[in-house]
Amino acid sequence: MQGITKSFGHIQVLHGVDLSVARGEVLGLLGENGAGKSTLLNILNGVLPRDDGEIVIDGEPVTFDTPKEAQNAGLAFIHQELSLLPYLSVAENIFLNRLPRKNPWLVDWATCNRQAADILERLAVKIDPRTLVGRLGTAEQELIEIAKALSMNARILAMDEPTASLTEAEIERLFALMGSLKADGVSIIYVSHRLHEVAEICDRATILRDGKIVDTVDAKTTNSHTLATMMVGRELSEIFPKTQRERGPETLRVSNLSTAKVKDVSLTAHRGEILGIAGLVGSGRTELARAIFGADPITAGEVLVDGEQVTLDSPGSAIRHGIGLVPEDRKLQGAVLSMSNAHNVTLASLSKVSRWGQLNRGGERQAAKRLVKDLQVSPANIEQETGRLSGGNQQKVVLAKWLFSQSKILIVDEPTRGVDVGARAAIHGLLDDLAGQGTTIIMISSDLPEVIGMSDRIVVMHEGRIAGELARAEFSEEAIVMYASGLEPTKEGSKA
Amino acid sequence: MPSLLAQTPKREREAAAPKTRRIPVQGQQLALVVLIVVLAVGFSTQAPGFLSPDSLENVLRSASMFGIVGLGMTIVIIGCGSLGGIDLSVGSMMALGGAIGAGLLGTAFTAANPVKLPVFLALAVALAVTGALGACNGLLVSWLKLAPFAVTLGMLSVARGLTYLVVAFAVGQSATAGVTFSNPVFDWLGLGAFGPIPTVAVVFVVLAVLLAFVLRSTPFGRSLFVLGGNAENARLAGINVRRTIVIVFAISGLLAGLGGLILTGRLSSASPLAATGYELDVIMVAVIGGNSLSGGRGSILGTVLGAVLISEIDTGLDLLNVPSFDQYLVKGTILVVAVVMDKVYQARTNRNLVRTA
Repeated sequence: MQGITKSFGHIQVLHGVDLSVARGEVLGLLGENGAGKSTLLNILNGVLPRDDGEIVIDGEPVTFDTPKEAQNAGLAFIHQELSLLPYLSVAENIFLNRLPRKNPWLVDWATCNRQAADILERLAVKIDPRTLVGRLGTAEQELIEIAKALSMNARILAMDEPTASLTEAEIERLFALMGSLKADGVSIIYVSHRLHEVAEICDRATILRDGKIVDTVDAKTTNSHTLATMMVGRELSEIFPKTQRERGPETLRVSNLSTAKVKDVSLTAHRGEILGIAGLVGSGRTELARAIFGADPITAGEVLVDGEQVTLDSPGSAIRHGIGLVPEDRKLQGAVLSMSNAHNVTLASLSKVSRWGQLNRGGERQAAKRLVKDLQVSPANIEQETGRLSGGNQQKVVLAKWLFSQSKILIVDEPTRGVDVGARAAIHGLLDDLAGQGTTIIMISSDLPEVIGMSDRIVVMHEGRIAGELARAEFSEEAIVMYASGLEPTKEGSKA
Repeated sequence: MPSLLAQTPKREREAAAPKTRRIPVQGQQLALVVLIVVLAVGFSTQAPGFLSPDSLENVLRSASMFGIVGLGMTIVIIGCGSLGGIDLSVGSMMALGGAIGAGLLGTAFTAANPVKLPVFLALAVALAVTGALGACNGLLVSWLKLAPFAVTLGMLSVARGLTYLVVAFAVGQSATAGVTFSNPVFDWLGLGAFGPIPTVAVVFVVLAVLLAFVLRSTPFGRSLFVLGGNAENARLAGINVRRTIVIVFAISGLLAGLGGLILTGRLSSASPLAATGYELDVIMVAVIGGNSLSGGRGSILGTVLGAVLISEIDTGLDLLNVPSFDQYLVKGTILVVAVVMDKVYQARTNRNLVRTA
């Protein structure tokens, strides 16, 4: 791939990216969340069109308009989220859309199952091709995905975080399989956040940052710390409105909290503090927030608000204890897009604008007007449907909702994602002001400059657990990335 | 914004001065009014008796009966639309409500029936039972996360079966035919009038105004719109989603029971076969009124207009001697057109959302 360029709207996400992989080579593709890895793979796979640049396979320039064309050219793509159909058999999944036929109307099941068995044997996988995929474990399903790729005679295999849900033993098996594919001359592009895996399985590694290639290095000889630095090493150019504050008494204490995705997490947060929660997407940050907000069932552990143990069995109970959540998915969970700004502002605290069970619509409008003005929502029209605002203004409306309900503990999950620069600064200013007035802010963010610039303290999550905690003096992008990747940061890695 | 957290809502309340009250008539409702008028003119030229007091009273009575049950359907559709909210059991619930109300009177049936309750108690029991069965619908939908379509389809059958049992008990033998009776309170409900206005119409208007107020001006009403738009959104806003769903279905069952009592009074008979298939008319009333089956959108005014339109068509086609099977054709077509219009409206809204987002 040469000089690949891609923009969404006027935001350029890939700037002339070059990438090459040789026959029988495993190339690691590294980068932070949002660095452009997925976009790049989607372009290679024909899911997204490219704006500029070219793709050359075995010396021939190619253009794929659909994933089907990429498939025909020998490209196979294994997504992080498996794309198998659980109620179909292994053989049916492998030959989906390409089932061998006896004649144009009838499927040749005998041939289908035999061919599937052959491929599985090549992979040394002992699974009956007639088993329903839904009955298999995640690791086995991953192997079926690879079998599917092989059945298409894939010469180039792109794998997006294939080990994310595998155990150590399963990873060993996958790596052994990748080794034999490599020996057969298959080229593999391997995307992973786990730096030690890259050293183990990859020959070379290409590092992508902010849509540009940083460098391509020898994966065997480059140490994890260098890779981490290359992934994040950018200038802190943004000014954050961070003010010095005295940390107040403890308002929130989470002890040994576990849910389906969160394992044994303990943390505290204080009055007037912004606690940053960093970690990779899928590390359990959002699930932790949802558990504290009563949105996901807590399986073990306890939560104390102002020193008193509380039962958080629903968001309603969390709201009554003064907890608010600005969720990651603004459009489906944060704001009701079909309702007016005024209605969205009062959504979580309707009892405040009603008396004797009747809404005081005048009072509601008054309150909404004030907040919309204070937060500089534009256009400042309380009757406007929230869905018609820009992303940043929608986020301000969601924040206004919790300001109106006077939350003591406000959890914000990716507060500035998809928000323009002006709104981003406004939201940062608002969060800092709120902390200054004594609110406890818990800020989840994948945006490292943001989490470093805004937080008083940072905890980093990795695979559902707290991997490390950093005091303000210890903040550095490298330390966060190392913890987030499941490694211990080295001392010399701290910020200069 | 220094004083952001300091201000209290109390102050806002006092400062608030309600300004002009807009009545939110939307294009769809305007279209219904026009259609109602056009059809009235059309029917009266073809069937001169259409605008006679008798005929108009008939339209009013049947619109009110379907409308009362349609009010329940309206809040089910608005409040649970995101969950596929619909109540198919209302026809059977009407039959059951009527059968219980009449059956408990004792005087209604000649056979050996030991139960003889005062009429108001009989009415209360009928409403309590249908309300409770409606709540059962809601419990199954909210706690077991079952599809309302399946749950209420089951209840359609269960309530019909119960109706047979109640009628059989009341007449002391297995009875499939309607049993006629007479009771002043039932007569008043089904046939009575305040001057020129039928009792049932007054009941309908009172209930419609009450529910419109609830939807517009209470936290419960507001939460229905949120829940109907997106259940997860509602949960994260601290709304007790399960309780709300149970209440909504209970109200639908209760109003169906009331509609059944009115029907029984109107016919002076309680039959196990009463109101068969009425759920379709009731759904039609709500959907033609512009209540989106996908939830979160709709109005009581729309339902009222829908009820008038459906009854007008019923009565008009009857006067024109159109066979009932052909009437099915006409009403079915109108329903599909209404749903298509809703889809078009939604598509236009969504396009606007994208364009300005």
